[in-house]
Amino acid sequence: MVLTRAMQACKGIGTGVWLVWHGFCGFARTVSTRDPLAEAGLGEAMARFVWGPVVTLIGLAVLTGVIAGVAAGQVLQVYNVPLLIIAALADALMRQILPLVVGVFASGSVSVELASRLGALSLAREVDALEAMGHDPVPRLLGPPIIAVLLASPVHMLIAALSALTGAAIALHLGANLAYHTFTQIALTGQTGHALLIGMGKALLFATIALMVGATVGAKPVRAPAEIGRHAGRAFTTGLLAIFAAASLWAVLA
Amino acid sequence: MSDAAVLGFSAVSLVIGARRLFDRLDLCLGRGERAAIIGPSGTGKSVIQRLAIGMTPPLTGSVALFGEDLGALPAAAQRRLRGRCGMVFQGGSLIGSLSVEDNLWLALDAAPAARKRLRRRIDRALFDFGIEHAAPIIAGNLSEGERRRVELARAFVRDPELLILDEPLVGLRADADAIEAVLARQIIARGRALLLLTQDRGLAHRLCERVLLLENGVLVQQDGADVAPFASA
Repeated sequence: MVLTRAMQACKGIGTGVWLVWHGFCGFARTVSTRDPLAEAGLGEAMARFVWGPVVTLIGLAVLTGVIAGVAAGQVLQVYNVPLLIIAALADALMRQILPLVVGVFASGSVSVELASRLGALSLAREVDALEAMGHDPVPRLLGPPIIAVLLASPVHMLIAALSALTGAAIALHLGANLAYHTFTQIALTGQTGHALLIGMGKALLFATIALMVGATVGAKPVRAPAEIGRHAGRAFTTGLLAIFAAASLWAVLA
Repeated sequence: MSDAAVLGFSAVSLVIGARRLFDRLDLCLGRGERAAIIGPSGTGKSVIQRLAIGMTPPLTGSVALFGEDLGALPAAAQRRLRGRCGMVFQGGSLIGSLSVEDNLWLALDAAPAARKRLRRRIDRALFDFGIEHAAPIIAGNLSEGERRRVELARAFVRDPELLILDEPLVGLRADADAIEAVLARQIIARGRALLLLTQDRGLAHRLCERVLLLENGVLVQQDGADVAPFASA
């Protein structure tokens, strides 16, 4: 049973890696021939994956910053060592917490969206139509979301970082009476910038995992509309598990 | 199997679920030859279409398209051969999010430099099937009949050597006769090979030289006299 599950997981990882790699590499050719499906897909994917989630992400990140700021404020009132506590807060936000927030967000949007979309296309025989016309469906259907998500993840991480720091500064100002300029002096350092770069790397990895999971689950055959919802749910939970596993592995190896 | 065959099934068997759909099925379609496979629904006509282009592999036996064994070819080579065919699927398979014109451009897979030259071919296909007014409309917003016409136009726009049409006139109702005339002009007059999959015996006999009945997983040659519809049709 365990061995079967492990083999299924390995097969899923292999399929996901192949689909994302093949979609990424093949996309350039489809764009160079001005393929209408790839062109329309890229515009739609940019709107959906890059700009669409920004408002929600800002809200999530500000709230995360507020939660962390309130906790830091309570510690600050006990120990009164702002230099240490704010630096630790900024580092934890950039390096650990925000990449996970962006990753969970990616799992909830990218993998679910991709699994549902591929399922719907399969049900409408659009994947079959591409195959029947002699086209490789992978670059045309997966290429646009791959490009959009890979472009989006560092941008999303940067937006999340600024939003979370704003939330934390407000919480610390209101809860621990810490001046805004003191917060910015301590939080905005080279060390935080370094932590942000690591966070961007993690966010990119998590977004790629979300893509792989969405593509793998979405590539499974769909025979009835109800299966699309099931696939989307499976993509979300599998993506979440995979992202947390990758985050744990990163923490252990770092 | 003849060297000139565009499509050949050799002892093809297929089991789906617990049901044996085909039992050592043989079929050979030469260049410019037109054959129809008729049979009531559920006999596996649509599966023959998928087998013919390598989208479903046979359990045993082999399928050759343009003389090449599909089972021995990599996916890219199979796609190249499919590119020489024109297909119409039962139930439709247009890309619903693209306009009618973009659906046709997608079928052509043309480099930007060749587009000006191919523009006329797109216009001609739209005109032949009476859908020139629908060119900018998103395919998902078309009526069933219009979708069918677009699908037929898409099948012909590539100037295919072999056409595999699965119930091509379903959903056309009032326009069926006119579209049948266009099909006859496009296929018979131009010497294209056709594999027609239908329940409509009359259409099969009018368009094709050979009519085969798919019964219990095997193909049985039919004569032209029997044009009565199937009970389930």
